[in-house]
Amino acid sequence: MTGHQKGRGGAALSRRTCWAVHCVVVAAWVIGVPPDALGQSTRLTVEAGASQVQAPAEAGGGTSRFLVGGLRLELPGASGGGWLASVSGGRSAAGGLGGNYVAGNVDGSAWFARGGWGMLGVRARALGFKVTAPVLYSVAGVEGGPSLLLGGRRLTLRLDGVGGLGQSRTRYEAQVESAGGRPGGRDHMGGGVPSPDSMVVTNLNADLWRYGGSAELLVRMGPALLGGAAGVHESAAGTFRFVGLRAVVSRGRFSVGGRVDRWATPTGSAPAAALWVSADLGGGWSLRGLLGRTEPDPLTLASASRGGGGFLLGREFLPGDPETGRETLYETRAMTAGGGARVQIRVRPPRQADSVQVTGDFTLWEAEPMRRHGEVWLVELEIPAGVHHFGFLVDGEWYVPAEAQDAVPDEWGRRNATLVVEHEGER
Amino acid sequence: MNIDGIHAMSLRVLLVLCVLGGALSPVQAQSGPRARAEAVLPAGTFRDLEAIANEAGGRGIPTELLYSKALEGAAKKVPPPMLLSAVRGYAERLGTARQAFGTEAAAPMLVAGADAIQRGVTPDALRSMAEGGHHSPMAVLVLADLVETGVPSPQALQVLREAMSERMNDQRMLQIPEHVRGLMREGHSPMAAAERVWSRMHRGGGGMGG
Repeated sequence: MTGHQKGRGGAALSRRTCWAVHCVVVAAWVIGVPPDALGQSTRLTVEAGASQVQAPAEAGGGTSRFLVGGLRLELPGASGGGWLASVSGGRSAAGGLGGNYVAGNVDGSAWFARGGWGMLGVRARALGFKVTAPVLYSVAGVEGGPSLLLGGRRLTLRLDGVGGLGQSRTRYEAQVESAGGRPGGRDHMGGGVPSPDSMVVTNLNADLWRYGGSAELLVRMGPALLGGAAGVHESAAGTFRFVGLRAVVSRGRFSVGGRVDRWATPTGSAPAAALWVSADLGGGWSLRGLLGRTEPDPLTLASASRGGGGFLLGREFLPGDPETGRETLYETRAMTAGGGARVQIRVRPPRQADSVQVTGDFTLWEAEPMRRHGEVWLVELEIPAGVHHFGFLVDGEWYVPAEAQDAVPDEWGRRNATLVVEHEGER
Repeated sequence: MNIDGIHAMSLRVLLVLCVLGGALSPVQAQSGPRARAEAVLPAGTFRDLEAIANEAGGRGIPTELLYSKALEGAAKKVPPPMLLSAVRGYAERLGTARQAFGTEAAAPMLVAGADAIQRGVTPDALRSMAEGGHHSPMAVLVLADLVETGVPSPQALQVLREAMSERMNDQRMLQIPEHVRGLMREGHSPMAAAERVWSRMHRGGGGMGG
């Protein structure tokens, strides 16, 4: 049997399909990352973590827990655009609702015109998803549209238009009431004794579409971006509207962001709010976490969740790690009362050396002995605030590593390394 | 004063000199670059150096920078004529930096500016940076690094202004040229790489390495 299920079976199908669609959001929510947060070089990240989400009321409620893992490939493009491709899978934890899933997602933007007024570009997304329970459900879709970024450093207005098409397939197997028999079910949520005669397979193919637009206004206040957003989308199920607030604070290797939205959907109004954190843990490790209520998706018609959270621990692989390109020759250990600093200077000589000395304007160009520490030679000096030139004498010969950061040519065909000790609060 | 008195005074002078010498020898910096230059350089070279320094000092250039440059040359065993020529050139660059940054610019800014000129940064670019109210030696170094990498001055300045406005710390600022070079290794032109880095910073997406 193919077609819409009627009656009691139809209601169960609707709830379970809703559950499956809900899983789409879980996957996208946990594994996804906005293209705006892409790094500056191509990188592949392997991530693993866990998530827990409360299902929406129309899906019957309940909790689903997943062990989540995946790959994330960031491909930065020209002029600030970039693409993110992710493949992820979730294993439903014992006792939870929902089933195992796999998901793929490509999301990105490309900017092709820019000027003092801002930038014009396109944004696009493709997604695919398949979940095994409570019904076998898959969805695929593509969407995209123009993006306009206006304003300057303090104030930014972003306008996005979007149109998308997709299709979902639901395969539902159930036992129906037969003459003289009793009702039963063979689906994942029911019991009963299956019989080939009473097995009904329902395949539902649904065309999905949406079009609409959104606007986001952000104001920079120090390390924070604050603002609001609003949008409207027509979809296969009706009209979706939202209005909300945005906030992002970035400090060093840490970012914290939040959003609070009020959605009006064809099935009623739904609040959505999320708090996310992102941390570069160093050594190629990263941590991302999410907490809150997912927003509805006008394309896949996924409902807002009732709440949940998740985390992903990632290990990055950088094909062209930019931070390995230059050698740092000094490290400020502590500021001193006189406005200077205690600085550790280190160097790895190009060959086995019997003596290594540092000399620079901070020693009035007198040689200061360094001590060997494995393959590295070290010395700690108190150096006044300022921009200083220095170099090394390796067995009496002038030496500045070719990879030294901010090496500057001297007046006699050699190079000096540069060391900066800034006054506290110089900027 | 009798012979004993003269002898006693000579001993006291000798003692004072020894004490002074013992106190000064471990920390040469206390004597300053001028005193050390006078001690290290041949007398004729030092006289010429002092003339250069006096003239530059009249233009507001910190003279210890010039004595230090001469000491650098001496440490590298540069012949006196080449040493003095280099000091004159350095004085010119310091003067150009001072014109660009303004008469209130501190010595670290002048050193960074003179280095930047040596690495290909134009005085106009330095002036443009100063006009934005940015007075960070580190930023000048990064500007020079970017320009030396091949980034056109307007794009390099754009990146630096963004970094300064975000009050980016030294460590992150020093990573900017590395990010640009990383993108260049992936095939971007220097200008496109710098624009990309700027765009990430500008949009506040955590693009500067988190």
